[in-house]
Amino acid sequence: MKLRTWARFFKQGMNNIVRNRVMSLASITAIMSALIILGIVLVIVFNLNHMAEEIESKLEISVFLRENVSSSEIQSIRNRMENWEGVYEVEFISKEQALERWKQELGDKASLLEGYDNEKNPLPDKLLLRIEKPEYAEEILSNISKIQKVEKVNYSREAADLISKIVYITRLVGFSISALLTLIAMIIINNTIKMAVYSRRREINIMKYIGATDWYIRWPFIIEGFVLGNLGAILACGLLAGGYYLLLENSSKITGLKFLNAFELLPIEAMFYDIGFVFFVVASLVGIFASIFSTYRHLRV
Amino acid sequence: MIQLKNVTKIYSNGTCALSNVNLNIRSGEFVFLVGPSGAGKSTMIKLLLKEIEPSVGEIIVNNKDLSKMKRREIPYYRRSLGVVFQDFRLLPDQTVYENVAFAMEIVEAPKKEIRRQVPAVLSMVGLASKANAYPGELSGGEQQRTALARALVNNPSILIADEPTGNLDPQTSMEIMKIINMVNHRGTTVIMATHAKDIVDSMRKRVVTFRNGVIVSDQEKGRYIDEVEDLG
Repeated sequence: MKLRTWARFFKQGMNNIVRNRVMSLASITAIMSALIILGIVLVIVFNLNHMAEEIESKLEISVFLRENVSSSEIQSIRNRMENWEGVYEVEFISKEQALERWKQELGDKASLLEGYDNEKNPLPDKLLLRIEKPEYAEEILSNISKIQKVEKVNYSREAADLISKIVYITRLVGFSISALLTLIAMIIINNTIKMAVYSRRREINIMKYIGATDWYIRWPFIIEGFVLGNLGAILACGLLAGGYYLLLENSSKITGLKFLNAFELLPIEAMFYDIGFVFFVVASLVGIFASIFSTYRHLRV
Repeated sequence: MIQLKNVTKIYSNGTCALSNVNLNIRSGEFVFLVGPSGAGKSTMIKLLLKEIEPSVGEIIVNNKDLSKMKRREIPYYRRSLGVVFQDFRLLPDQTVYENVAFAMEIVEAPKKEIRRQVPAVLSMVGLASKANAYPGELSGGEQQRTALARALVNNPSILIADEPTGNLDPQTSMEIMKIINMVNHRGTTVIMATHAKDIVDSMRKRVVTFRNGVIVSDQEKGRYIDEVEDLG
């Protein structure tokens, strides 16, 4: 179709929005609310994922060896471990090094370890495995248990597991709520388009007799739905980014967030391109499909 | 040009609006469809516009079988028809010019052609001076002339008029009929449903009379038949 025709469609769509101001406002508010909830979920999930990544990068399994394992045996165990899936680094920490580190960690309380030296060292030799993801941990742990020279294994996965559980629940609850709100927004836009079709029914009737194609009649309403959806998306994105900015500015003052100080909250620009894109896609699809659905029901020739 | 073969229309509520109608209209003819309300005139017009489908029978217009026409072909078929109604059906928020140009914009005619064709057709129906008026500022006759201009602007081969003078006084009606007659003389086939006895009697055109969904009379240069007894 010609550019002039598209300009006409666009103008008509805009006229529809202005003509049914109240319904248009309701539609915009509905899609905005749905997207804000979706956005909050996305912000939380993005941050939790970021947090989980940080923790996972620190995932370590400590493998304490029995006494009197020879250095060639240690070397062969180490070589074997390096070939396991999910292991990206194996570090050997001798009992001497371990004692030294412990002393350093204690700092001015190092005197507590007085009397212990390389001759009289209570600590075992240790292999430190750094793994890529907690999912690999189980298999690696079972592999370790098959090695006879191992005295004890130490692995703390609670933090990582907790975060992935929180991510999972946030996604489930958040996406369910936003799906429900999206559905409501869709119904409201559907009704708005129905009103627009109704207020233009004379014109549509005439157009049909003159020989306008169904799509020629339908396009202005689809554009109307698209514009309503994206006006809601722009408002939602603005409000959400503004709210997140305030959170970033004041995060140190909010006591509930103190524990988060160990982790940096993601900066706005790290998330809002993605969130904006998601909003655009969701709002456009909701607006367009609500309009198509509405015009199919109410535009019978 | 237009052929109805054994056409029967029974509505979903059981009303039989047309029963076994056979009708042949040649290209360039002027045909009045007359008869009391509910006799089947409106059903005829709706069938020709493909607003409804016949229950039985075949309708062929311009060598096209309407029952075999796909849904998406209907708009293109309707572009070969010009339609006017009793209630004019103009857009109140658009000027006379815009109302007529609208019909050309819908078929995506080039802008140049719209600028040339709309004034031409407006002067043909005698409305050149009212191009910028809104329908609310016009008399009934002027509104119907605007509707005629809109129906004719795309050069349809058939003009379908459903009681075009139903809302007009006798003198204005005759002015409208003059325009319709002129259009017919230029080669457009005209089908006009009407109640107006004086118009039918004065025009001396073909008259097809309906009673209870049946054609009871079909006369060349006919007259309006009021009563069944008149059929002799």
